[in-house]
Amino acid sequence: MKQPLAFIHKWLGLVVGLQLLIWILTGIYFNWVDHRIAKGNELRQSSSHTVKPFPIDIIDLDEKHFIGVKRVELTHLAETPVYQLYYSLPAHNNQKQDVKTFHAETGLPFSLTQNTVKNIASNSYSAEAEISDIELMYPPHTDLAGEENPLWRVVVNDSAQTHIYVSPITGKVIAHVNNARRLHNIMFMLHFMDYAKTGGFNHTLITVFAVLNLIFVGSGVLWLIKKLPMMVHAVFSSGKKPIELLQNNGSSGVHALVPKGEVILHSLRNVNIHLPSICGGGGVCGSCKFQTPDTLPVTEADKAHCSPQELAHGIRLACQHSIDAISKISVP
Amino acid sequence: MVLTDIHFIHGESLLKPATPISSPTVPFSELAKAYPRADSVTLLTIAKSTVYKVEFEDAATHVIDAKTGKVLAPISTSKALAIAQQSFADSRYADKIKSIHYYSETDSPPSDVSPRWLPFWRVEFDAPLSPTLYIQANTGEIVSKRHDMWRLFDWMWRFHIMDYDDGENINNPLLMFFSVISLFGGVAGATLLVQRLRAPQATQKGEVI
Ligand code: FES
Repeated sequence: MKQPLAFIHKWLGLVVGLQLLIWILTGIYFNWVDHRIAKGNELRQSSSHTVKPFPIDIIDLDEKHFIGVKRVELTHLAETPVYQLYYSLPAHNNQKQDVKTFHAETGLPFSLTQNTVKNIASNSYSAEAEISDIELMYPPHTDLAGEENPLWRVVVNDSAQTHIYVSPITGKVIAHVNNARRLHNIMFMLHFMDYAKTGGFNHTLITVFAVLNLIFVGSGVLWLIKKLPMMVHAVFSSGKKPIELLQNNGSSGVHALVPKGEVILHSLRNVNIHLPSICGGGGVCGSCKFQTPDTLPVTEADKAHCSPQELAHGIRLACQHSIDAISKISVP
Repeated sequence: MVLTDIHFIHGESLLKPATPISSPTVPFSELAKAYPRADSVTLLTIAKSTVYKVEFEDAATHVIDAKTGKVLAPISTSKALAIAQQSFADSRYADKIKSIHYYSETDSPPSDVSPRWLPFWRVEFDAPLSPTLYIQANTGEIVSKRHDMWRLFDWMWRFHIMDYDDGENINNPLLMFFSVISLFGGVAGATLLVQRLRAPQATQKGEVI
């Protein structure tokens, strides 16, 4: 491993490069997309609810109901006055909720009927909704990563294959999931590398990739810095210089005028001499060899690709030396 | 960003878990009679006392003592302090208050909290990462919790989406510009890599790097 930076950069590129491209492409998608549409909300509307007054004959819950309860709410659920008892207060709505609901007039357990759910769903949909199926689904939900609660799934018969999810606890619409949203979900899964569908990015796989990627980029930057003096030189020097092109047997050949201040590989291109190059002048492929009778230092890359005999015969890599350092050259 | 637990960032560990309510002296039915047009009536614990929070459609809110049935005045300085100290999870620092500030509806709020919670009290603890609690002045509820890691994460997010003013707009042209350039860089790099791997061994010494 004569050139550690190039070595690291190449092999890490192979490991994390694909994911890096995925991050860039999905990033462009998030940057470009209209998030209201991508989240599936193109046809979503908020339903205007009118507050119904509480009836006068609200009953009070028996004291034993309050044991272990963190919060009690008297409200309306689908126009019915209800008590809702919260046994836990999760920080996010998608986390597991523990709620009991009672009818505030009868004191009996209350839950939304299929018909009510259907109404809630169609009221949230701004077009005419032809509903083909209603079902109470349990987590994990294919359409909603990270959702830990059961949800009503209302299937709308439209071209975007919309599924409307309604919370049985709050009676609120959780999401409209259509094909646009499914694409968005896939993009999120790829961006977060969330193949386990946790809905988040705190997992080992992405951590490992993030660290490797940092090393990948870091090695590239260092490599570039190492090459920078040569590149700067090429940019700021101007003018041409003559160079003698030797025959293969070493006898004198023709003279050519080539640009100064560039690496040999690039300078020679101006007189239509194209040395082979696979890595584009990175000093890593070893294909751009040339020979010169002039004395030249031996770079790391020269050492990596030329045998001691070759080096002794003045063979070097054309991408590693400036044209300024030689006056004669023979190319294979 | 992936290394830090997002729940920690959100400050979910700054507060003690909510305490269960004790059953109210004034029953729900009385509240329903007094406020029939309320959107909701909620019984909850705020700093050890059980209260009713009555919310209306226009976002107006009353807080009522569940023992006496009296409407409670907005939170005073000492009450805000008490709420902050009683809710703070780390007992070593609970009584170490660095600063307390009141922000009225017309004040411009600090940048790490949403203005929709105004008016509120800002209570900062003299503890590692400068934990800060925002207490809604009308209800006494803790509406926001911040610490330095949240603030750092917020900036990392701005760098992530390259939106440096408020960090809210992902659809910004600067990000588009740089991501398209990155895409070119990425594709060029991938091409070079494929060439390298396909190329026959070009070195005679045989060291493949
Ligand atoms: S061009 Fe690849 S080593 Fe010189």
